[in-house]
Amino acid sequence: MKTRVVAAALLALVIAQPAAAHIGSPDVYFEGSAGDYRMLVVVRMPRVIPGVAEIEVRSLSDGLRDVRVTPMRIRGLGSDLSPVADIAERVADRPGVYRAQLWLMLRGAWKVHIVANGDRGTGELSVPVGAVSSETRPMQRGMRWILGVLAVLLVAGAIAIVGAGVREGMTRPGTDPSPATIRRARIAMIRAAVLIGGLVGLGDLWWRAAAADADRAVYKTPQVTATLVDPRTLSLKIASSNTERWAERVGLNDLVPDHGHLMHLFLIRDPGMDFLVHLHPTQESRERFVQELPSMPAGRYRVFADIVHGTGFPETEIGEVALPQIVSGLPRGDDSLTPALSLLAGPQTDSAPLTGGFRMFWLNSSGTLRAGEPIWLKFHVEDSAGRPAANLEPYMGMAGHLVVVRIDWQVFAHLHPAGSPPMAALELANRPPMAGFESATDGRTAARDPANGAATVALEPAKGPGMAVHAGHAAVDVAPAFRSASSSEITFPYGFPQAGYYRLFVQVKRAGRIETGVFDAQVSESGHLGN
Amino acid sequence: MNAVTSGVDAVRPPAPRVPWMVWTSAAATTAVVVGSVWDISWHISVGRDTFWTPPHLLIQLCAAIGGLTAVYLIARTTFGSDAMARTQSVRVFGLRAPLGAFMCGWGALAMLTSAPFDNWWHEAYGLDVKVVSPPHMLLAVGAMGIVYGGFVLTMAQLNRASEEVSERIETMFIALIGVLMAGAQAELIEYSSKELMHSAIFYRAFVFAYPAQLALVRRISRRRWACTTAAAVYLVLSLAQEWVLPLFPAEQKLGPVFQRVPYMAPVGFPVMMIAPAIVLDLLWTRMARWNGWVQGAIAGVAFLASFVLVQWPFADFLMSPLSRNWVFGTHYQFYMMSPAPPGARSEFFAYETTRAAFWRGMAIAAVTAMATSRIGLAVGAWMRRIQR
Repeated sequence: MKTRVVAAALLALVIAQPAAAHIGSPDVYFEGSAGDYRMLVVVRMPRVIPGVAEIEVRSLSDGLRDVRVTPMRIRGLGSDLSPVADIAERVADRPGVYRAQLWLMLRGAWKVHIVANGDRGTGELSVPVGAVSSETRPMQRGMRWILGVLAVLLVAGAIAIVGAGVREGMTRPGTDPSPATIRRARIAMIRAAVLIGGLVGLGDLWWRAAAADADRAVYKTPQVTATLVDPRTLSLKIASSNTERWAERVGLNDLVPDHGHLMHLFLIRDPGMDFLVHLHPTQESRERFVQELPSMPAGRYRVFADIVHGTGFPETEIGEVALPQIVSGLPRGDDSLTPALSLLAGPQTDSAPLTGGFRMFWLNSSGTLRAGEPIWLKFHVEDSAGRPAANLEPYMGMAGHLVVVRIDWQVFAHLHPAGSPPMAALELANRPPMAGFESATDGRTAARDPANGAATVALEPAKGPGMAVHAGHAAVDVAPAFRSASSSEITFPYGFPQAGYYRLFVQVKRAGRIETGVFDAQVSESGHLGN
Repeated sequence: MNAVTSGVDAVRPPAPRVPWMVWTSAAATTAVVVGSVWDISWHISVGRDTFWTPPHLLIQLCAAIGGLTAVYLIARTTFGSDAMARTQSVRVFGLRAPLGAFMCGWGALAMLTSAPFDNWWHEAYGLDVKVVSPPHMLLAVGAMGIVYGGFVLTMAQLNRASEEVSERIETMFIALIGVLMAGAQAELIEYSSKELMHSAIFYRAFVFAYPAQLALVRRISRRRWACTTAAAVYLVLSLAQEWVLPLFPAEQKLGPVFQRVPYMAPVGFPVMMIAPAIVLDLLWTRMARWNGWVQGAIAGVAFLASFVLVQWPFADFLMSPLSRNWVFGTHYQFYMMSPAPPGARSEFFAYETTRAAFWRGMAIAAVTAMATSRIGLAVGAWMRRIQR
């Protein structure tokens, strides 16, 4: 096991696959309530936009009869007019599971508006979805053969038809074509071959241009440049993503706070993933943030900076920075640091020590994890006597935060008990139309904290006369773990995007102190999706 | 005497009558054109489509008619016992059939090929945001193979039968060209909006298809007003879609919805193709016997000049409030167009940003019109000589 982890770590690649928010983890997993119906929503994103996403809604409550889904923009033109809702189809052999397709026609921030009907009335919920093209794939071998053979047949057929048209087509019925006609036919075939060759060549140029056009629209993960400007201050310069060709441009002057912070910055030491800091830099100008670092060991760190735009479009910017040993204080406020055993020390699977003799257990550690399969990652905190910890408290409004990183750095996801969408995007998606999110344009953002210390995000009433808050939009329950009987247990709905080895950093707050449990997971290739 | 007469009858081709291929050709052409217009309207009104939407089924019907016609004629001629049919056939890859049958078969195969190609295209580069793409072009070329294969089947019969094209078949042929012109307007929708009617790109788009169609009908038909008749058929059909489609309700099934459109939006008021058609008919009496290249050049320039002369001021009218009614339909909207300017489509949009670019565009349009006129005349001349 250890050898394999090391081998995989050595094979790590630097370039990450893009996905809006997170890295290499484009699918959306969300647990929430539409009215009285609790549900798990899984949205599997297409590789290319415009494209069709698959949505699966699993009812976690009784009495649900039907589910309707509508994809809509979160903000901007068209966000107030919905297309006809699709009735999600019940999956025959799996009660309470509904599926539908979502046609996402623009790149940018979307939401899926879900309407649930049943014995307990009607409930609504919107789940934010960042729609980006992640890659354009070359043609598969089989398809290349099929189309190649057909193309050869069509070209040969066209030339042969031209020849026949001149040779016999112009000859009176019942008579044989003259040698002169046959010669003319041959010349016509040569001309046709040249002409068709030219047309095929032009078609090829057109195809290449279209492919290049599609390639240019593929989302490239923006890079954050981190520089140590004084012995303990890190300066971060974020970059705009390549959205020049998108209908919905993504700038840097519209950031909104997520859990009260404009940026969630994660530094993870490479290799080994043996040190994590979770920080919240301050914005100095449109693209520049600063952060006073806590005391931390020297090393090369991978940088992941989570931001959310005012459109509801989330991004994770990535970078690297080499730091000397930082001599400073302890992290302050919501900041935290976590030393951990190196990956090279072997997998940490079932339990992790916390401070004061407390321990965190990963309850799924013995099961098989498969790529693409939704699962509730469950963690349990016990005190030194083995009793469930009774004093967990919200950490930035959440029961917990989970950072998932594949050991080759190809996957990075920042999750909450509600799932993978950032809370700020979730709040924007569930606002009544026209309510507006007050994003500043001068580079500083003044939107109010959407989830300041509350387990349930209560949305601000719509501004302006005559705008009542819709019942279904009034609140989004985002912290199911706190509603469960045992508050010592935290669950995160998620699906690992690819097979491989992952490190999980689970962060909770206890007695005013931020604690992190570190675990390692092995994920197998997918069996059949959706179970 | 009877024996002699019957012997003469035996070698003389049968008297001209409307052969079944003419009807299948007409059906295939009509299916693909109605399907295309309906499909465009579907895309701008409903938005989402599948392989099985009614307009797509109509387009597939064209492929099915073309393919079945080809298979039947090739099988009958190659493997049947009809010696006469064999003498009236051409040979392709060892198979025998009338030339038009092979063209129909080729067209059906091209349309069939476009289906997996288009599907792959969507998966690789995204769902359609453009009408004109390589797989769609292959589909259109395939449909044209079937349409023109049908024409060739018809013309071969008629050319053999007598010098004079029978009234009924000539009427049908002219009408089918009018039908094709209606289809071309739908395919050019990305360039046909009234906002572009004072830009060269509008004329560059229209001279790509229409001069060839008018020249073809002019070269084949001997009627004085053949082009005018075809243009009139186009006008009537285009008006029909403009007036009939909005009578049907529509709801948008694809977001983002920029504005509610409760009706099936038509593809637009017909363009003034009647003007170049009349001009070509008038000119033809003088130039019928001229060299084909000269004919093409004159027909192309005359087409563009007369089209611009009428369409340009007509565009001013289409911009005025007087046209915002059911007759001219300029108030109809597409759901994916912004209801606010510039999407509101209430003023001309200068596609070419400089005067030089505009004139360069118009020069390209003139050269294109000459070339496509020449192609239409050449195809017409060839069709007049088709024997099998």
